[in-house]
Amino acid sequence: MIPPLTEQWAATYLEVLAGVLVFALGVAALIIQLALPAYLHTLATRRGLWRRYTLSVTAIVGVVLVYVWALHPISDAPLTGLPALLGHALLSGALIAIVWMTVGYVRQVDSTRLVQSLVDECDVDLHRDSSFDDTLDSLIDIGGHAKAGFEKDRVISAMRQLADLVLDKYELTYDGTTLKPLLFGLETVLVHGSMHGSRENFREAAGVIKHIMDRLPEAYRDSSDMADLLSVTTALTIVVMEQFPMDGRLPATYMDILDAAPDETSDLEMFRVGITALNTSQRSHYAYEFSVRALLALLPAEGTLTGTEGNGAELLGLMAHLWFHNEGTRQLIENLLAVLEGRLTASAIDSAIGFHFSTTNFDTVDLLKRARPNWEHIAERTAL
Amino acid sequence: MKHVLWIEDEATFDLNRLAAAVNVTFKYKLTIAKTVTDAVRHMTSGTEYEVVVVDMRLLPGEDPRWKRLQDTNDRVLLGMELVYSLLAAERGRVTLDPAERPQWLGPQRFAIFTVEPEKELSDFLDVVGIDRRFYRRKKASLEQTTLLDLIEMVIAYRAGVLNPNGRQG
Repeated sequence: MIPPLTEQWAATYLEVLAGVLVFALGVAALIIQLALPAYLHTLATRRGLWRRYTLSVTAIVGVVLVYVWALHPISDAPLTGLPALLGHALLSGALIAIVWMTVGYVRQVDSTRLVQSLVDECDVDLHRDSSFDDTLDSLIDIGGHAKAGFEKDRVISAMRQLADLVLDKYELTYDGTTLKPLLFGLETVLVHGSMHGSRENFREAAGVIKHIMDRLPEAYRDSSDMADLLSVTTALTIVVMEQFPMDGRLPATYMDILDAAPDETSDLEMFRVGITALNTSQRSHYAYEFSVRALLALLPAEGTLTGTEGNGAELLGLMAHLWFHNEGTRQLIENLLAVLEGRLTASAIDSAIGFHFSTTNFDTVDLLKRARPNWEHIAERTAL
Repeated sequence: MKHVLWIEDEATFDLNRLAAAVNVTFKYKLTIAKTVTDAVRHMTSGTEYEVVVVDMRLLPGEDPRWKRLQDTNDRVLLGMELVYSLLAAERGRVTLDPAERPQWLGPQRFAIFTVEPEKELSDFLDVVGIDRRFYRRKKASLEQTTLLDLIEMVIAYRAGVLNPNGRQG
């Protein structure tokens, strides 16, 4: 039976209605806030999950209130019989439904499910456009904000899954550039998010990078994706050297990828790897080993060194740093100078100085200028 | 610089000091392959390796042919299988494309550096034609220059400056 509508009754009723709705949503929001990291809730809001949830809760509360409105007793006498039973059942059911929906929402926004649903959506994007869309950005966002360890690993594994999709399922539409956002995304997840990756996360990422490198079709060995892969690997090599100086294996794993690459790493990037390794020598037992590996990678196979970019400028720059580092490293460079017999000239050193000046490596310019007289002397002695 | 390929999954980890001893001489460009897939890729990259040092226990890498071989027989020595496929194709359980067997390949460029004792490898060494002098056993107390010495020995032998006792001069 519909209660008679008076102004006072309606005002009281609406007050109660607003209170109940705010309470229902407020309690749910509190539970969600406690159960979910803020970034996941933000992501869910962006993806419309939160709106769907609030509309559903509002609808349930609305149904209950309409029922109560309809059966509200005219007098103060309580409801009895079937209407009372239905009222109890509806109120209890609504409460259970709200709790169930809240739990469902939390589970839906739980990163495992969200990550998998994002992978599925990326699959759709790839099928439609042969490229990644904003969905991948959401996945990278999750990875960047995820806690180091298991949470980040979950995203890194998903990125491996996506690389496999590109290289297997959509192999025919692959053009050598599709993996770019994925590769740089990997760097974001580990380094540029609000949380840095753990040692294990970096190890997992190295596995993904090597996996992609091995799976790239032969025709794309010198593609833009391969160049990006090497660029990301170099950046991560530098990060692991600085972040985990006592761990020799992790930087070695990344340097092994650079060594195994069919394409060559940019000399300037390898120069940075060598300098970073040297700068960690006080904290790392492995620093010199990596410097030597960088030095060898920079050594052109044959011909005179011109001291220009990609042909000795970076090598001479790293040699200058090693020359002044300590007696042992100076001995190492003396050995190298002997091997370079006939290939190193004064003009090459000048060119290298010019190169490092133009790239604002002023420390290197200074060291090269200071090393030049010694090197020229050694070069003369070794028949130049 | 002469190019040397070392096929060894522990080359940059537990055995890194052996690689370092080679690197600091600046005489050899040491390339490390950690899996059989990587090894084949390096050998077909266009670089001619003066010496190829092979471990017998290797990981397959991504190439499904090697993966399958390991999956069907977990005791298989993939390093041995690789050398068979390269140097004695009739004994190899993985058939390589002709492009995967570069012209410069030959038993005189190979050295074996592994934990397996020599007597267990004698048939293998005979079949593939690798000289027993170029076998070294991995053990706990290895000289820092073990790898370097092995490389120099193979190069000296090929240059004809190694006498039958394995000494230079």
